[in-house]
Amino acid sequence: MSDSNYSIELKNITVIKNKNTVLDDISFKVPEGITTIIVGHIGCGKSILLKTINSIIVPDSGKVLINGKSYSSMSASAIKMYRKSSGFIFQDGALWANKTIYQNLELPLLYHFPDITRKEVNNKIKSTLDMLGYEEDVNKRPADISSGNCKLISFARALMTDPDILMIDSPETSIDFSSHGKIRNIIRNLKARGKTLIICTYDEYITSMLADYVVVLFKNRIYASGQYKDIVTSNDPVIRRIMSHVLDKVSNFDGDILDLMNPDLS
Amino acid sequence: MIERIGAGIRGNLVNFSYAAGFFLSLIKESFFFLRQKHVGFKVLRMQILFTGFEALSVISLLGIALGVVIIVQGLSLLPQFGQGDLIFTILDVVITRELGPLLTAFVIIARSATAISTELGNMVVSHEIEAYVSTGIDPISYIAVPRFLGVTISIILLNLYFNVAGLVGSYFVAQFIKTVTFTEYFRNLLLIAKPASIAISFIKSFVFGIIISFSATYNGFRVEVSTTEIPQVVIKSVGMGLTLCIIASAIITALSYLWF
Repeated sequence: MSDSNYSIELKNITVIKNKNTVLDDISFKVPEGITTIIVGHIGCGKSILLKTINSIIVPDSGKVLINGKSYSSMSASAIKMYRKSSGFIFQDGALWANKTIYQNLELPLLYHFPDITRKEVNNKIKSTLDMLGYEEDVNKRPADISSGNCKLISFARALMTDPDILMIDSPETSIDFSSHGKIRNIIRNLKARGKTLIICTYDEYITSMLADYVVVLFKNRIYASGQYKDIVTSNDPVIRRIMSHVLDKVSNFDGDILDLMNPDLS
Repeated sequence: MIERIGAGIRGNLVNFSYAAGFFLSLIKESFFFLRQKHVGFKVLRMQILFTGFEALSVISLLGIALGVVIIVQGLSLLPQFGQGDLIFTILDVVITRELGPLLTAFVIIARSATAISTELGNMVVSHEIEAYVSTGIDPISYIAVPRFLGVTISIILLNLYFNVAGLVGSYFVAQFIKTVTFTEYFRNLLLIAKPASIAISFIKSFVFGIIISFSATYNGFRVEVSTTEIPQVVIKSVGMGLTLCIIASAIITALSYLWF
């Protein structure tokens, strides 16, 4: 449904929360059409960075540039267009608790496509849920479904307007084993469809199999960023420590095994 | 010491400018409400249901009780001073001009302002507000404006209803305690009820509606990260609503005596 691509760039972003600097002078251009993984220790500001990229959080200093224009100076209609083309999947799902699953999914459609018919809404919801493998009653409220299904619905809500850019915060958090597999497949499919994906994750599969570009956060700053292969083969002790934490199931950061898991690297 | 005072003043100025900005956004977005009626009307309808319709029983009880007290006490005491007819003036002043709008406002603060602040605070903590932003739905236009309009419309209607209950309903209840002739009561009441009283009552309920819905939504959105902040903002919402309504009531009353 969306027809435009957006470039996102962060310029000297600093975010302060409760007098603590959670992001310190971050500058970073989101690579378009590929999968970027943000990694770092707990509390280093990954989720805040992702929300700042999506302009959910307003930085204390610096600018978020959307197609070269500062987000804060964009018109309401331009922001609405941009929002239609970008989706955000929250760590905890953040579904609207006072709405049913159906209402959670229909609202973005009704808001962005005021002339959409009820039949089109129903078809879009059904096709998206079928694609994600959600089988429960859509008239239930978020509190009545499992956390794994909440996550699936969070994906579905973000995909309702068929965005070009998707930001995903910790897709592996608080979900059961079967949902894990579904979510990995969804992300893999989105990557195959050429979406720009920015993901904060500790999931070794998503990182090793899907990452094209990696941003390493350390002490609230971007410590390193680059192509996955360059980051994963770095000898820098900080990068090695962080990457081994993410890829701990991949034989503690063994290059040969990584090559086997991701044939594109060789 | 001076540094702390300066920081305090600066903090208050920042808070004030934020509140002023929020209020202006609320007013601006209210004018554009019809533009997004396809998604906002349902929220508005629900707000009027919760704030207006569901408060009818409490408002009836309060209105009738206040009217009965005034009728019974007035008809017992005033004739002793040869001022029996003043009962209708007192009914007009107390129910229509003063206590009607104010008591209705208190009920709305207790029922709806607390509920709105709690709901919005919970939505902030559970990242639901962020989810609206990320989806491109402006939380002020979609969440705050329908509540703002819903509370304001409800309080105007409830005030009208309070007047009916206080002036008409109370007559019938008072008959069990003190008999008053039906025609005499309503004829005198219509003679006393002036357009100015009705206008003042309307203005007050309109202003109270704006104050209550603003303080409820503004404070609800001020929650940052923790559920422990929610009761704090609810207390602030109630305190702000009560204080501003009483001040506004005093100002409108004072101005009304100057103008009418």
